[in-house]
Amino acid sequence: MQGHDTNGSGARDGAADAVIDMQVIAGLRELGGEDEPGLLVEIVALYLVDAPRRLHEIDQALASGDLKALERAAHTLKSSSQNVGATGMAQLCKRMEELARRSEVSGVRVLQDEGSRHWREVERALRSLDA
Amino acid sequence: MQHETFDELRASGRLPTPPGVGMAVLKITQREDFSTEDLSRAISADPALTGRLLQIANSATHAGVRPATTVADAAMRLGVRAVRNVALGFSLLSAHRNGACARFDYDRFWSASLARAVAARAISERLRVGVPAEAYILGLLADIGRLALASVHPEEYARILGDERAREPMAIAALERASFEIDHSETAALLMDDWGLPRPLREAVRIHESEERRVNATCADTANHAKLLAHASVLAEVCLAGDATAGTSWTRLAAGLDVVRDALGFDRAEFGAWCGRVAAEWTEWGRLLHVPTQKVKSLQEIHARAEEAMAATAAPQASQRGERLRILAVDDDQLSLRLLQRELVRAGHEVLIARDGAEALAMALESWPHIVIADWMMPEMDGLELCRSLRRIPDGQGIYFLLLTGRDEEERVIEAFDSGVDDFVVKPFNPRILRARLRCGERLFQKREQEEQRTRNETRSRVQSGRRMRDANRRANTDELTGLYNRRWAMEELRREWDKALELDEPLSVLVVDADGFKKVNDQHGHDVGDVVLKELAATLSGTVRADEEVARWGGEEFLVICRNATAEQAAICAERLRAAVAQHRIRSGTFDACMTISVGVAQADSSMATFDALLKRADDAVYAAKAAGRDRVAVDKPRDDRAKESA
Repeated sequence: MQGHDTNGSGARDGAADAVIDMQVIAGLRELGGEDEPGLLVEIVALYLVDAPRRLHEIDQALASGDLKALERAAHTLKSSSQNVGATGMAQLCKRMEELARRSEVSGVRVLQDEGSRHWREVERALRSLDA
Repeated sequence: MQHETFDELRASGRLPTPPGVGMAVLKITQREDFSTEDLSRAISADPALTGRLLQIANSATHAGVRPATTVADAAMRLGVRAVRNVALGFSLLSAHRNGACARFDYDRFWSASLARAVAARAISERLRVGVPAEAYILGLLADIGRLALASVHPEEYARILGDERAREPMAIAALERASFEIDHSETAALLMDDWGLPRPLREAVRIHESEERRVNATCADTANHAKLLAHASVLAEVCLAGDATAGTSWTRLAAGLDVVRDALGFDRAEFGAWCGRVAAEWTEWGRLLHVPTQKVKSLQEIHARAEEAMAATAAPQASQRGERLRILAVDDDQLSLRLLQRELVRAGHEVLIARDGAEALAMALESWPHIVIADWMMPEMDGLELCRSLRRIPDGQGIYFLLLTGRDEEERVIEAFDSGVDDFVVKPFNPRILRARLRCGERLFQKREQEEQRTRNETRSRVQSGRRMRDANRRANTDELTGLYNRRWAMEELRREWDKALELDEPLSVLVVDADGFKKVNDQHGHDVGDVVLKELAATLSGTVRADEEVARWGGEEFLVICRNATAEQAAICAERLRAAVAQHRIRSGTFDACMTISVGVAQADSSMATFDALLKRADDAVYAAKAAGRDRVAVDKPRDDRAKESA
């Protein structure tokens, strides 16, 4: 991955720089162990389907002004992003959640833009993993 | 070959030697004709050394003995050889507190050596092996080989210490042999030879770390000292164990401690106290010799850590009793749920999953999980609501409820506890923390089960103890061989019946039954057969008597039958029944194959008898009469007035 720091142990100042924390990926491989070697692939696949859905939910919530729904979607995406080591994405979601709670709609909108862009990198990084 | 290698070591001039006074002491005692005064003079020149010698001389726990105050005193108490070795040991310690090897932890080395020394002395005293003061020095110097090798080859030894394989003595010894063609035990033994220590002690040092070498020890003295050193080493390790000690070491230590405790013949409490004294002595000596010591972990703590370590290594499986918990995992996020499920399966549990609170509630009611792990934030019914719903059901009170929370939800924790949540796991969860929480839940379960079991047991034991008391009574009143009541009971029962008969003005009769020719059976067929015959006789008698008749074993081949509320005539009928039953019962045992016979005497209580003893006597007389008349018959005692009538 040229020009991208996919290794979490590299410089990580600012949440948006880190795309995938490889230690989390290693942990998932180890969790599957010998009896469930396909676990990592399964988890990543779940995320690759789920995350876009959540992002879409956030879009819709912003459009309809349903901040509660937005908060919930951001919360869920934060959680699953953490689980696959997408720490940058998780941070974004966390901030979105906080802002939504405080009803700071414009702030959320900015983050949501950033989120969409960041998502493309995350997706690329995950698809290029050799599970 | 080791001797050549050792010569090379010696040639380097860097082997540890006792300086000054120590060397003087060595030289003096190497002479054939040295005097205790010479020795005393040499040691007394060094006040510190003298002090330490006296400390050791006074270590032995002898009440009422005047303490040693001079070197001569110590020499008398310990013997000259021990004094020399003590002087040697201490001067080595003071001279080689530090050294040239970078990786060698001199502080820790002497700390451990001192602990081993103190332990060895205490063990020597306890087991009465060797001279305690000498055991002290033995323990102190047992490991000196390592210091020696580190002194002669500092860089090489540093490399060995850095080798990750150098974890325990045997491995280090192997590495040493690879580098130096000699290991630390052999070095120590050869050094001690130079210093004039006796052969059994040197040998003990050479072999004490190797099971193989210990097994081949030819001399009892050596073997005993080697065992002593091995035990002392375990205790030294305990003294130095700290929080950095690895889990597996705790289990090894706990096992080692059990061996030591067994060897010393202590129970757990005594051993704990004894170890405490050893630890205190170590601290004291540490102060005296400027060697660092530390607070020693208690035996309980060591065993607790060992158990923890065992539980931790068994973590992939469920708890040691093989208890698989049934766990219900609830999360609306599919990914998180999958991960949680995998963790739980890996920990060896049975996992049910639900996607939301409502589904979870339905599943819980159907399958009654031990533990529910639920995410807090869920649509429709969140984690807290699920918990509250569960707690409302009586059986739902017992379920252990773990709530998964995000880090930012921690302020709302109180709300969660109010809803009946048992504990939390913060997401993303650390698997070890999850396991720890699960173990908590498991323990709670076990505790609840134990309590239920206890109440069940309590009711059962109340019933049982009543029975047990009755059983104990019965055992005291039963004849072991035949299972019948014994003489003791019979006496009591007869007394009771006698009083009752008097009070109620009812008849009372007794039968004394004597087996015919029993001595001959024992003589001709042996006592084992005799026992069988008696048992079968007893069985026949007790099988033939009726409800109001009680059989007891009265003596060797005698039985007593108490016939309640029976006249002599009625008792005589009983007697005849018994005689016939026995005469018809064939007994086969070993070489014996025949029917036995009995002679029975019958007597009824009457006014001429002052006590029931008189009744017994009359029955006895009747047996005698039956025997005289030819055996295998019943004889009835004639009441006084009838006799008087007859003789008239």
